[in-house]
Amino acid sequence: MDVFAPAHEIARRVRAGEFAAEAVVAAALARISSLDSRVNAFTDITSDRALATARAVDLARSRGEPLGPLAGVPFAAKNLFDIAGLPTRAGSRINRERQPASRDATLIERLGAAGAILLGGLNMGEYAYDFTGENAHDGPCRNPHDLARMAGGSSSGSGAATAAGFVPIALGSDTNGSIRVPGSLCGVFGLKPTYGRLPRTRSFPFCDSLDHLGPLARDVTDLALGYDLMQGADEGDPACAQRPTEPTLPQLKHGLSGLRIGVAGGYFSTETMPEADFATTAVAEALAASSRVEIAGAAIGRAAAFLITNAESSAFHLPRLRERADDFDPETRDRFLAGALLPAAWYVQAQRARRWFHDEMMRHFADVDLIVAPATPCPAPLIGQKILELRGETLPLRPSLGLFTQPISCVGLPVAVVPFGGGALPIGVQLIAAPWREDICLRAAKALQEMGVCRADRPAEPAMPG
Amino acid sequence: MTTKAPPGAFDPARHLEAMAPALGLTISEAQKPAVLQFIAIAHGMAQLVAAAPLADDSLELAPHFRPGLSGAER
Repeated sequence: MDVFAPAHEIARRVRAGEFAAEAVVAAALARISSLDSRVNAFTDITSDRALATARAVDLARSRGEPLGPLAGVPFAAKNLFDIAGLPTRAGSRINRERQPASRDATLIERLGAAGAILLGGLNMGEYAYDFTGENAHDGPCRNPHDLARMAGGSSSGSGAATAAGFVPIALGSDTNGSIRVPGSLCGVFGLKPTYGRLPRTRSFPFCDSLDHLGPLARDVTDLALGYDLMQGADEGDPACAQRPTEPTLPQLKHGLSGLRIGVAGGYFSTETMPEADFATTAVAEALAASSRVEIAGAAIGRAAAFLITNAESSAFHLPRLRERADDFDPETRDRFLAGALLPAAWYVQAQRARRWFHDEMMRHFADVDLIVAPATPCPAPLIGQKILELRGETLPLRPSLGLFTQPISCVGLPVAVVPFGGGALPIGVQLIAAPWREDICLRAAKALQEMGVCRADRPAEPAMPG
Repeated sequence: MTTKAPPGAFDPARHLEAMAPALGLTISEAQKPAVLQFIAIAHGMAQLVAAAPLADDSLELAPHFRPGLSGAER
């Protein structure tokens, strides 16, 4: 079995009896065992559980019982998702002292109910306040395409584990870009659904107003399949919308037919960002994007997201900041400390501005169905890099990697990040739709994959042998 | 980052000194330079959101709260 096989193909062959689920899981575990010391994508590997679950899938098949659409498919989850039996560390040192979770997060349960098999928890930036994938406690998660470079964060392990061929699907979270940034830097597909679409039940929070959960995958069909299986309301998340499941998989075959597609301009200009410019232009041309969308107010939207994140997360962590500041990763601690001191008026104004920017964005969707925008200003920086040169300015790298993602999640729009591999390193492009239209993002992503414009390339040897 | 701000300008250092005790936070000298840097960035962001063209008779916050519903009713 090719470890880079798509999830839907693995499931088809397991259902057909061509492969035992146990063999699929054993192959994935063997690859992780031999190569993850280089990547550092996993923080916990649940081998016993995975092999036992795989054997149960094989037993069910031998009895003629129906198998789920992800039967035997390995997956893994960012370690802010509850995994029964493990403390939910959320990238921190402090959380390791928590009681082990008694039950899996809802999204892990939903994938498990479809036959998917959890292999473990994935590295991430501390408490999800990160775009780099660096972590003082667990070590940096490395980019499988160049081990000297960042995987991107904060869902670093989710991006790296899919890119490295450890799992075909991984779960991540995205508050300001934490699915899209590692998706871009690691060269895989990702979906940040509409805010409120997927329940966050039994995941460790970062910023309630902006937290989203979603999948990353090497294949768009897998992304849509995994996403569809995770849809549905859940009483454990007050922000989760009471909407019926709206399957996207049947929509993929419709391609680009009837879609009005524009390219984001102004704030989203890629001038002086050659890789981002090349990728965004190539994707826009492939999609025959015919209009330019000037998103006035994007800088205000980004600022609102920055302040809301800073204030909510810091207030949430205030007791930990008072009592155990030295146990934080210094790179996140100082931002939390600053956020704890923000005046309430800044936060309230940010929530007003967020409402305003939302209404501004909605006006654009009267004219277009999909907006193409860069995902990150650059491909993966070197691990340890602190500065980014952007548009003639020298900026701190950590917040700047979210320049293009932050305004979009601020107003909860669904976005697929698609990998463009035309250069030495991959870089992603955002496909943005109106709320609840994940189907449009995924249709366009599928079309780009079929055209060969966007694909999750295998990492080159010798860093990551195939 | 500890240079004195001009009169009337936002001064991250004074802000920190005033707010940290109110929040029960002890911020060490080693932590201060980075914390002050992030307060200054947040101040810049606050100036951006302050420029949003909002009506002075409207208070529409993005989050909504719906009383009376809980659990599966939400």
